[in-house]
Amino acid sequence: MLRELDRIEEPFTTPANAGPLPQANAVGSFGSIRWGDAVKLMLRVEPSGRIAEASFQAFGGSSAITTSSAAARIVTGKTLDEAAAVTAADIAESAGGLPRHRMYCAVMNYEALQRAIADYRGDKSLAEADSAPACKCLGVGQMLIERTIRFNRLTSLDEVTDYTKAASSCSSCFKQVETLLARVNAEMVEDGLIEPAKAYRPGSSPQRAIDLKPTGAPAPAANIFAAKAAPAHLRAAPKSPPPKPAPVPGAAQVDAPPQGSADHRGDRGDAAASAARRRRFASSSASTATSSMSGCPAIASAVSYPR
Amino acid sequence: MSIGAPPDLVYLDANATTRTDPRVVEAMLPYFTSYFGNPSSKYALGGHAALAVKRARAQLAELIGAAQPHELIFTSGGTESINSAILSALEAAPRRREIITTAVEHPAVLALCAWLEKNKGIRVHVIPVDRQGRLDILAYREALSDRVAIVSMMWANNETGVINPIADLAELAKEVGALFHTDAVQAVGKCPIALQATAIDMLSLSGHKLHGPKGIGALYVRNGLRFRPQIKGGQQERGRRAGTENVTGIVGLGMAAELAGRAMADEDIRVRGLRDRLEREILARVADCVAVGARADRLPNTSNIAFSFIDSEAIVTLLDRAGIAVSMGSACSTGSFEPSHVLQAMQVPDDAVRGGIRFSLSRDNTDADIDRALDIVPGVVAKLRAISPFNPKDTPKERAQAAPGHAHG
Repeated sequence: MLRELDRIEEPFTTPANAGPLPQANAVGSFGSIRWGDAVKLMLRVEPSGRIAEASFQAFGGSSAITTSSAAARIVTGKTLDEAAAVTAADIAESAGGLPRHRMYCAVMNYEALQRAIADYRGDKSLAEADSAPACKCLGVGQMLIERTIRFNRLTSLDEVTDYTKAASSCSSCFKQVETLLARVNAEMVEDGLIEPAKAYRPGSSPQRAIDLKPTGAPAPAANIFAAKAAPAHLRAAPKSPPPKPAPVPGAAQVDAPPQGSADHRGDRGDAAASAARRRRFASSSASTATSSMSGCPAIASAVSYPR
Repeated sequence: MSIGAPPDLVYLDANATTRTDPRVVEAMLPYFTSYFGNPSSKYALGGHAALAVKRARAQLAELIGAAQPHELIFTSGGTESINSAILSALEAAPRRREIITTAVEHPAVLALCAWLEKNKGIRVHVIPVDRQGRLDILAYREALSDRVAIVSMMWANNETGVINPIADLAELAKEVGALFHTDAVQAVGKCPIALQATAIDMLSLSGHKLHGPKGIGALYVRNGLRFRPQIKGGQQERGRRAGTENVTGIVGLGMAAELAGRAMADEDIRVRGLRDRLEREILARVADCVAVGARADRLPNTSNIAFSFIDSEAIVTLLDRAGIAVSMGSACSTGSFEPSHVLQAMQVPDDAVRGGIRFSLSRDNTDADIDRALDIVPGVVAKLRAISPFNPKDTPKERAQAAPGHAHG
């Protein structure tokens, strides 16, 4: 943190190229308050195609402001074609080398620059080409993730999060982003952009452990099909139990297992015994439930600590 | 800062940590070098240490109004206390498999609940709050049932300072036989606490929030409650928390508790005055900002102001350059880009939710500190607003369109 502060000393406190540029004829913006950072790059492009002046406005942390300032600085004096070739890595480098977890600042400025150039050239396709968000919490578009993976040769999920903020807040879109990464990596291997060994394999990164907030949802209902796996004496009672046997004096309330006599061999005897067992279990569990209440004085006074 | 190490620093982040009081350090020092014995040892050197621990326990018990000193278990801090309390309650009542907590808790509670929900199948009821940070009592009543093992609610919120009506909440929990735990890390030493008169079963506190040393905290467990130790080993702390006592830390915490008890009146009157002046003046001098939770009952030292259209990290960085230490609403760790969960739960408007700044004062702050902060804060905000692509003239729709790449809604 301290090193980060030292590094951004100058451009952050007095960004010379900050603020609106009234004569701008190419404007590109990227990001939103929900995403957490935003930048608006304003370029004044001469008829010759050279960028005479560039300025920025940025919303976000100190890294975002520093990086935006650097991006505006390096495109000044370049031709549009040269500026279009500037990559996110170039921007990061010009900002003094961003730490990896701040790479989204460079990506944000790269996107804004591309949009500014498209704006000048009257190319509407880029500005609108985006799809449903993959990450709903922060609203990160699927196309953006795809582009960023491809252009920056990302091969791990952590990198995708660092570059686009996707799948960082909750893990609900984790699978979706993972699938996307695997697909784009596979395409990149086909195109010869990366080694096959480096491509991301689905399932190779563990589920993020940063689910800080409990969902508060009720526990899933018991799976009725799982009942088959339970031992016979724990299964739910059948819908229509066989009729009870005629009460035999002295034998009806016995819940001991049948003693192997020929009379007890058969369904009816078993059913009666298991019903008795269920009754007994129910009553015993109810009694323990009441006694486990913490307010119960009997329990409370029974506790003693070693002196 | 009237007395303190970096002479030109205005420290307004007392809810993160406080300066250890020199009197506390003085009380601790002999136990490093002279009375270094183990309290469990039988010879005199150990006896000295044991006596010091005993005295500190009594001092702390007096601050929070515990019936007996041995109701306090010394731990490594607030987080350990909270974890022990919740896990012990679940272990002691295995048939109760639900927890009730609030949406604005500290991560020490929320992350534990999320883990329990995911790995142990515990149902967690998260009680929402309103725009002022006040708890939704109806939702709480509905969530209470005899399936609830423990209710864990903070006494005062760390980001906004909003105080919950803890005594009443504890009574409600008692009606269904659930245990009641409160995270009072921010409240202890700042507002009067008399545990004996309440139905609170467990209470967590931390030393370094009340001018004590770091790495020491305590868990109050009401006498007679079934407590299951979460750290197993020796018989220290009556078998409830194994491990050799942090004697120096405990001595420091005891001293800090005594000093906090004496300074509480000052905290309530003088510090409240400073806080109110700071907040009133900032709201008057800066446009488009809102004091979060200001209408609720609050701690006397905390003010959370959300500035629209700018990011809190940039504000904190610029204020730090100017020699003022404040914090963002949340301890935003790398890897998470979400705005503060507390401000989100309080439905702070979208344009301000990322601009939350927490000013938290302590008894070390003076009038001069507030003057200095008031000189600097408006300028910093104006500087960042000038850079920001968003401004109050935008309608929300235009703001959304500033980002064609992102879906909104």
